[in-house]
Amino acid sequence: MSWLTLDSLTKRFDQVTALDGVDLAIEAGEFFTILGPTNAGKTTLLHSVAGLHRPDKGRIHLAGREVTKLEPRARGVSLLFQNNALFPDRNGFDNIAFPLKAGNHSGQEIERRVQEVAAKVNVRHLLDRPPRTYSGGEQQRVAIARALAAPSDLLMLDEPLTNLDARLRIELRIEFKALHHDLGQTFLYVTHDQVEAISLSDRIAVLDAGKLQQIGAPQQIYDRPENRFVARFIGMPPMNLLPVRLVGEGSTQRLEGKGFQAPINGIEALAAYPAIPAGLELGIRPERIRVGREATSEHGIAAEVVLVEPLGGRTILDLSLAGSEVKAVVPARELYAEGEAVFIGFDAEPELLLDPTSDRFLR
Amino acid sequence: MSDAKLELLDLKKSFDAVEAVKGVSMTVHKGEFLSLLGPSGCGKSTTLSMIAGLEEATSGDIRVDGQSVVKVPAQRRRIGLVFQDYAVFSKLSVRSNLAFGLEAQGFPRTERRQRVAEMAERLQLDRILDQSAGRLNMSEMQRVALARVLVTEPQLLLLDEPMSNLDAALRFALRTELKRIQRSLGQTVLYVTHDQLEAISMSDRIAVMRLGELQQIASPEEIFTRPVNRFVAEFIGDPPINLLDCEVRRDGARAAVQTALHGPLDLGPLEIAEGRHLLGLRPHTLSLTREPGPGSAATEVAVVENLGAEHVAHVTYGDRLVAVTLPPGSVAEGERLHLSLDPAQVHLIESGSERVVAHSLSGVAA
Repeated sequence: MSWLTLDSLTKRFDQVTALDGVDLAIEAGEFFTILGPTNAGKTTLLHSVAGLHRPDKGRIHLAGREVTKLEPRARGVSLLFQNNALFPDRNGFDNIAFPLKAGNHSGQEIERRVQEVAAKVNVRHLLDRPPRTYSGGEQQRVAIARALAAPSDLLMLDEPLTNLDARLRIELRIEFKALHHDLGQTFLYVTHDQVEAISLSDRIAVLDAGKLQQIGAPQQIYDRPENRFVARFIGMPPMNLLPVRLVGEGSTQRLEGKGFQAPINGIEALAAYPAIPAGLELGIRPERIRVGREATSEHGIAAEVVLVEPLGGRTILDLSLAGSEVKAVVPARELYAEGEAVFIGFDAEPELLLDPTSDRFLR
Repeated sequence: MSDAKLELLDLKKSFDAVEAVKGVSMTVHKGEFLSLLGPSGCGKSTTLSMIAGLEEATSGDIRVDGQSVVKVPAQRRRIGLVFQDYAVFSKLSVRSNLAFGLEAQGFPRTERRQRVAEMAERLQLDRILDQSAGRLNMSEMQRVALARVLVTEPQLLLLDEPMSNLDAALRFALRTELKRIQRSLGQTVLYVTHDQLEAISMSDRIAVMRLGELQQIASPEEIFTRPVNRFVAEFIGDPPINLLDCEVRRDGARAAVQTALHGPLDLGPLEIAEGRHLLGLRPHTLSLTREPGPGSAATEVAVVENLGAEHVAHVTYGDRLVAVTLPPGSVAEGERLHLSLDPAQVHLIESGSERVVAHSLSGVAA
């Protein structure tokens, strides 16, 4: 059995179904992320595991025992909130010791435990200083030390980077990865930010409207989304989805869209699919679109640059392909002007053909 | 200058003993999208508040179309303000939201109707004019927030971190839309943000602020490729710029710079003291190869960070790590490779002053 399992977990608030039959199995030591937009049910899921509310249906097992109906403090989980809520004027030791003081621990035990977690999280040098003297990264580490002070089987983090400055967010993102590595603890991390999810996680569960959309390793979720929601929610810019028709027979089958024709890579794979509708959408990640000024075999489809959006090292081009909008990402050194005529090319893969009636990719 | 829409002249603001804005001078041109970018507490929101008339300047001047407005009360400045999360009135219809500012300014009913109808059409809100604003999606919400201000035909549109509390994916979509609207209307915009990506992707020019002082004002490309100092170099870019310790040596009139693994690189007759300085290298300008090349250094991949569209390899460099951006799947952790830098894309940062004194080195071995 996995370290943490959720078994058809359902939670309603009045008329709203916040979680709708969610099944999850998380392994010990994993960095597991729940990713989704606002109101997807992410925080409800976390609070159900923490025991802050009871699910209407379903069961939760953690570290080999059922915890569905246990009180929060009996579950052996710790939760780090959005605002780290450290006491700014008490020193690091008192902040970390805070959750222990509520229990029946002797002064000696508290001393030993604080020193132990402080060493683990590498903040022993901060024990004598108050949080207002810490850097952003140091505050985060002390907050985590406090969350871990009472022994815990699972550390849950609820959008810990959301309220921070963009610059600090980037720094702390890397910090979380290092922390997970150092601690070897199971992390359940919640975020709406796909970059955080992709860069930190061993696996990601994408959640929308209380329902699981896909579970997988970051690259798998990115390269092989299972449905329209995942394709559009992940990626900046999101995956292009161009309406196409499947034309021709057998090995000469190809895709025809507005203003272009495209062969299909590994077309044999199509034979394995059950019924394929004629009207499909082709998914293409913007950085997989080849752009050039001359028509070549690599890029031979005429398009026009509508808007240029620089990102620093890379640039987003909003292109018009026979009137449809397509976004491409090119290295910043390739300079294009708005209004310029260009040629584009891309590969079509069977796994990135979306059936618009089910909104699922062909599998 | 004739096309100046907004001019700030040595603008200062003190709160008791704290100087929040320490003499900012800049010009925003007609039709320009200018972002005021900086971390919390850099003075960007205070600057915006003074322009809007919500705060009184301690000293200095603010001119709109060449006329000083520091003595003009906020409601008569003809400056449109859009706040965080757009603050649309959710209980009112889209139409009432759009008419609100016009009513407050006493426009007659027929003109109100006409202006609302025109703006609704331009921002594609005409079909939802009678919907309640509480039921809009975020794209519609952004357009209502903009339309509500734009119907009053402001001289200048100020946006104060409108997207900062929104989901990352949504922010991305709204960014493109905002840029398109601004472009199609030719509206002058001053946009305040702490998010370098928002600033880089939307602005014609960016003004970077720190501790109440303007650091640099230039196009996104210039800010990214020619930062004036260490702060700007570090604040812009994700993943952040690598800053390596380096050593400058002089030989007669010529200087050369060396890092733990690279160089010496010729600095020519550059005026810089001998000794330790910093070399800034953007992750996307570095390259990793399986075979050694001229001037390359042996390294090992310690960690690969996945960002979806690209990966960031953190590779060993002396006793530290250096970030290199790469297409997904190009290297694996533990792999031994060779790291090359592009001498045309390095920034030499002088210790002490923290100014960038060179943006490109000739690359000739000294």
